[in-house]
Amino acid sequence: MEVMNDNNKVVFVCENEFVAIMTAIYDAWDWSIGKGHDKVHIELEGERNYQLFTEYIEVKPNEEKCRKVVRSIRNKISEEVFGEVFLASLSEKKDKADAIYHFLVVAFKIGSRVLDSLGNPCVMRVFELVRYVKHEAGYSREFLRFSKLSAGGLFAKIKPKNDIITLIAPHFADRLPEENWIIYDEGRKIAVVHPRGSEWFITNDKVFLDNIVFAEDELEYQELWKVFFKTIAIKERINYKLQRQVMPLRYRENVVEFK
Amino acid sequence: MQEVIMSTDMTIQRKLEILTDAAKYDVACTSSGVDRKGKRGMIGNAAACGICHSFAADGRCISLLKILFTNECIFDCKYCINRSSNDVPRASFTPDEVCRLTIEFYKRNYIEGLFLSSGILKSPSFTMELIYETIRKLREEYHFNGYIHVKAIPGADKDIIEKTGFLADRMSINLELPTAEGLKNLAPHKTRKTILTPMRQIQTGITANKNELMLYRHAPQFVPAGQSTQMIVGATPENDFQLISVAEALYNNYSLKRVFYSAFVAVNKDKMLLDTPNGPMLLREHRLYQADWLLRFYGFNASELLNEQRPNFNVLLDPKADWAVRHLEYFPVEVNKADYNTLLRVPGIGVRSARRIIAARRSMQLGFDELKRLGVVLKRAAYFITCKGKMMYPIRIEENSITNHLIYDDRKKLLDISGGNEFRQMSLFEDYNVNVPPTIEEKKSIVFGEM
Ligand code: SF4
Repeated sequence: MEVMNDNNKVVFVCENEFVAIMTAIYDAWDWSIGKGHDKVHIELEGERNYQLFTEYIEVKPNEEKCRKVVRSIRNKISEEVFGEVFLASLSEKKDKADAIYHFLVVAFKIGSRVLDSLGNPCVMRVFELVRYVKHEAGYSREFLRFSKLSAGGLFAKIKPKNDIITLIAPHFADRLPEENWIIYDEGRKIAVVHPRGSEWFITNDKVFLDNIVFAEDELEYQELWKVFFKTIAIKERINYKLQRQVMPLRYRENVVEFK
Repeated sequence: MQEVIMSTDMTIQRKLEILTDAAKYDVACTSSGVDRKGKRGMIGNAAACGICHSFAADGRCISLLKILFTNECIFDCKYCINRSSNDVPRASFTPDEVCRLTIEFYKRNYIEGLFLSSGILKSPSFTMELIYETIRKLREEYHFNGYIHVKAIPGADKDIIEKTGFLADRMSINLELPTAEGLKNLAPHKTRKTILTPMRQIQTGITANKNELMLYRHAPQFVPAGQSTQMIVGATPENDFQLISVAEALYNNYSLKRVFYSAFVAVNKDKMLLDTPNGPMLLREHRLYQADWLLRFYGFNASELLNEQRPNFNVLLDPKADWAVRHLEYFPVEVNKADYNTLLRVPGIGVRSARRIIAARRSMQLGFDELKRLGVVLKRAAYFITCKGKMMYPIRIEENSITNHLIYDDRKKLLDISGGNEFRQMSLFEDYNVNVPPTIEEKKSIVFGEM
C-alpha cells in the first residue's frame, strides 16, 4: 500500500479563473511538502480525462490563499515573475494552471533568474502562453473597431481566444478619456465599460446590448473608411497571400473594412 | 455637422478617393518613434512601437490616414502621378475636412493618426502654410493628441517649417533619388539643396529641442518622433550600393529615424524613366529594407555589404546570408562562446534570439534543441554554427553549395513577397544554378570523409 501511494499522482482540479488557479497552486504546494512536486498536477475543471492511480481533489477558490500566493511571488521572487504568471493565467490553453505551477516550482528555487532559464521546458511553456496572450492583446488593440452609437458613445465587439479584455482596457482608457465606450467580449459575455472622464470597470451585466442604436452618420464613416482602405492599396502590388499572412482571417470577423 | 461635410460640389467621399489615390505611393506609414500618454480633455495618445490598424490588399500596413491635402501641383516630377503635365482629376480638402476625418477615424480605432502630404499649390511656402493651418486646427481646436506625420515641402519658408515642427510628431522630406543627377533628370523643380536644407533645419531643431527639454521639462516638443525620407527604387539606373551608401550617410549625418525605399510604379511614360517590364521591383525593395535593417541594428557598414565591384544585392538571398557566405572565414562560430556581435552576424540569429542565447547560456550549455526553442532559425544557422563543438549535420563549408541550399530553402518566401511575377521571370533553377538539398547519399559521402 505504501508503495502504491508513492506512485500515485495527485491532481488538483480548479475553475478557470485567477483566484481558483492561485488557490490550487497553494493547495498543491501544501500537499507536495515532503513528497516532492513531480507527482502533483493541476487541471482545469471540465478538462479531466480520468487516469488510473490518480487522486483528484476539487479546489475551492479562496481569496486568502490566493493573496498569500501572490504576495510570496511578488516578495520572494519578483514583480516581473508575477507579471508573467498573471498573463499566463489569462491563456486559453488547458495546461496553463499546471504550467504555472511547475514554473513557480523552478522560480521559488532559483528566484527571478527563472526568466533566463530558457532551456527549461516548464519555463518555456509559460513564456509560450504569455507570448500568445500578449500577441492576441496586441492584435485586439490593432483590429478592434468601435462604432458610434446614437447617444454618442462608442461600442466594440471582440471575440478573443485568450481572456485579454482587461489587458486592452487601459490602452483605450488612456487614449479616449473623454468618450463613453464599451468593449464587449462576445465569447465570455463580459464587457469593459468606460464612462467619460472616469475609471473603466468590468461587468457581466448585458442590459446595454438591448439598447444598441448606431449613430446616424456611423454608416457614412464606415463607407468613407472602406473607400480609403480600398484606394490606398497599390494595384501593381496586390498580394492577397501576403495580406492573409499579416492579417489572418480569424482576426477579420469584426473588422469593418473586411465586411 | 452634416452640412460642413459637403464644402464644395465634390462629395467628401470622392475627395477622399482622389487624395488617397494620389498619396498611396508614399510608402511611409509608420506611427512609431514617440510615446505620449493621453490627456484629459484631449483625444489620443501615441505608442513608440507604432500600431498597425489594418493591411491593404497589397499587404502594406495601414497605420495612418495617409492623404494629400491637394493633388494640384505646379511641379512636374516625371515619376509622379500628380505632376502638372498630367491630366488627372484634381481635388483639395479644407482643413476642417481633414480634421473631421482624422478624428472620426481615430475614435473608431481605424488609425493611429494622420499622415498629411501635399502637391504644391501656388508655391512651396503657400502649401506649407496650408499644412500648418490644418494640423494647428487638429491639435488646438479638435484637441487631437494622437500621431501626426507631415511632409516638409522642399523650398518652403524656414519659419513655417519650424512652427509646423512643434505640432507634428514626425516630418519627412523625400530625397526621391540617391544622386543629384537622378534628381535633376526626374524632378526638374527640385534640387538636392532644396531637399537637404529643410532636412538639416529639422535635424538642428531636434537637437536644440532636446537640449531645451533637458533644462525645461515642459518645453514644447519639436518633431519628437524624428524625421524620415524616401527613395524611389528602379526608376533610374542607380545601384543598390549607391542607395544604401546614401541611406547610411543620412542616418549618420542627418540623424534620420528611417529611410524608406519605394519600388517604382510606372504611373507615367517618360523617356527618362527606366522600364519596369515585370512590375515594381519588389524583391529588390525587400532586400534594401533588409540591408537597411542591418545598417541600423546589426552594426554593418554599407561598404561591408556591397562595393563598386559588386554593387547590387543578390535578390535571391537576404543580405546577411549573402554577406556570410562571402565571409566563410569567420564561420562556424561556437554559440556557447561567441560574443553578442558575432552571434548577430549569423544568418538565422536575430537580435532577440542573440539576447536570449546570451541569457540562457549562463545557466546551461546550449545544444541545437535549445537553440530552436530560443527562436533560432536552424535551417539557416546550421551552416554557420557549432554547439559544444559540433555542427548540426555534416556540411561542406563552401560558398556555392551553402548559397544554393539557402536559396532553395527560401524560395517559397520569395514567391510570397514578389507575388510570383518578378520571381518567375528569373528562371531560378537555370540562371542561378540552384540544386536540390543534399540527398542521403551526399550526406553519407560527407560523413565518409570526402569533404
Ligand atoms: S512636387 Fe513632384 S512629387 Fe510632389 S506632388 Fe508635385 S509632382 Fe508630385
